[in-house]
Amino acid sequence: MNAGAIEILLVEDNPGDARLTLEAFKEGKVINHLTVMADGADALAYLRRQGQFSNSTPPDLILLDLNLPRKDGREVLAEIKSDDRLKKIPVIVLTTSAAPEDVRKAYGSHANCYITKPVDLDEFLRVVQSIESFWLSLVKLP
Amino acid sequence: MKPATKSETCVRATTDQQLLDAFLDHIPDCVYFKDCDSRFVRISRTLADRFGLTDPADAVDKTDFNMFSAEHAQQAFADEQHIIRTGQPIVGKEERETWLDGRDTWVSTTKVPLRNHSGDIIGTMGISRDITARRLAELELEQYKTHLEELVAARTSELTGAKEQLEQDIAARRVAEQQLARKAQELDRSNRDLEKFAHVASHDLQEPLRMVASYTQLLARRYTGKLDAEADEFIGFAVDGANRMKQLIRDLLSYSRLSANGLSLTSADSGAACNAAITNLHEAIVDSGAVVETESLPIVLADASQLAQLFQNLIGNAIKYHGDRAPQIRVAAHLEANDWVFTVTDNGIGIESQYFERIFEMFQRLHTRKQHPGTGIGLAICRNIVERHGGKIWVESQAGQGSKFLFTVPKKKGEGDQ
Repeated sequence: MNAGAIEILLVEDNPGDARLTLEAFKEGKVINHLTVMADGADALAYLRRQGQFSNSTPPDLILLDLNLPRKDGREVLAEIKSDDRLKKIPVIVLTTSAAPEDVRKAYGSHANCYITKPVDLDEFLRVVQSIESFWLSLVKLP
Repeated sequence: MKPATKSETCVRATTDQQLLDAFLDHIPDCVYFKDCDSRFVRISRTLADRFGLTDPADAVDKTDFNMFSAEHAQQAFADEQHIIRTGQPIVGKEERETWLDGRDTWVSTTKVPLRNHSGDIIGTMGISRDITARRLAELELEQYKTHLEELVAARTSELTGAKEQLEQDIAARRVAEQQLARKAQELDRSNRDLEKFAHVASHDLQEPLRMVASYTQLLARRYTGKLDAEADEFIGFAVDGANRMKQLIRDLLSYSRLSANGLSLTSADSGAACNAAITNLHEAIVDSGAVVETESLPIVLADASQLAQLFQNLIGNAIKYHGDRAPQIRVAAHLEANDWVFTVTDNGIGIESQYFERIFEMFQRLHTRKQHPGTGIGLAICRNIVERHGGKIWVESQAGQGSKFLFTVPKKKGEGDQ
């Protein structure tokens, strides 16, 4: 693990999407480390350092998909934002859904921002670049 | 004739002979006395007239055979012989007399036995009244009646036929109506299924497609020029295919969304919708150097977002199918009867008239992918939008002379009415 690297938790069940996000961050400038959790239950266990995740590194930023097995991304978001130890971590909802209902509910559960995954790779890369330049370099994280 | 004296008028004073003579001379019926061989003994003047005799006495010793056809004379003879034999009278017998010259007359005949003082039958006497006129009238009436019955029968059978035909028609129509209703139901269900299918298919295809497209793009990004020329070519085809698929799914999705989302009709500013379309097309307009002019456009009863999509597809096409010159596009509208007629006119490559209908069909394309890429869905979406608004869309064009797309939107109620 790189010292001083930004720690990112990506909660995404589709390995292809996860890898793509990883590749996108690889092209970025900021040194970061990305951990992928493929379902909502594992993600919460990881964040709470439970069970096999007792040695996990607390992330600086969470990228959360909404449609997840076992525990839905919407529930994961609600639990993070109602957990005093976790709620300060910025959560970026990154999903294929553009449904207004999902957007409204995500902000209602205090998501820090909501991004619909673009279909086009170039646009997706731009999105990840924007996340990087804003959340990883511009803003001051806790 | 001078008036008779009192004594002359006293009927009681006249003899039986005088009474009989007066009777036979003046009674307007045929009266006759015959002997046992049916020879005339005496006849009335009326009968003499009928026989064509000047003097009734000339009939004496003559028989019916001298006057009538053998058939009738035979019948009369037989009747009289029967009366003589049996003493039974014949009363009111209506019979046809056929004369020697072929003429027919009708009489009502009563014949009785003629007896002497001792009661022996010595002949017959009879009276026949000419009823030819009545009989002819009756015959005529009979004919009328028969004719009328025939007419009624014919008419009745006609009516019965018509009624049966009508019943058959009604039954057939009922069957057809039921079939139509069933077909409409099937069509409705099939349409709904298709819409659902199109939506689900295009939506669910997005995910795997995003993978294919993203990774082929990533391949192109990382490895173009690093493998060999063939690899570059293969990657190029893969990227191109994925891009086309992406466009196709995007178009299909927007087509199926039209029916899935329904129509929300409001007072929509068509000018604003057109401007939104132009904004969305900004990149294409800049790239092509197109000039889009918009005249003042009306407020119409429409779904604003669908109206914007309609303008975007039409203006987008006008830019895409440009000729050698930079695209010049003009959007205008005018009121015609009960409709607003919108026109999108360009100076592009134009369309041959044989394709005027076909271009609005789903997946119908006029150009190869190399000439003009497209999915063949854009104008189908346009037609769907226009028809859902109760209007129609068509094109006026000549190959090489530019195109003018026209569509109508029904005028709002009360609008433009004075």
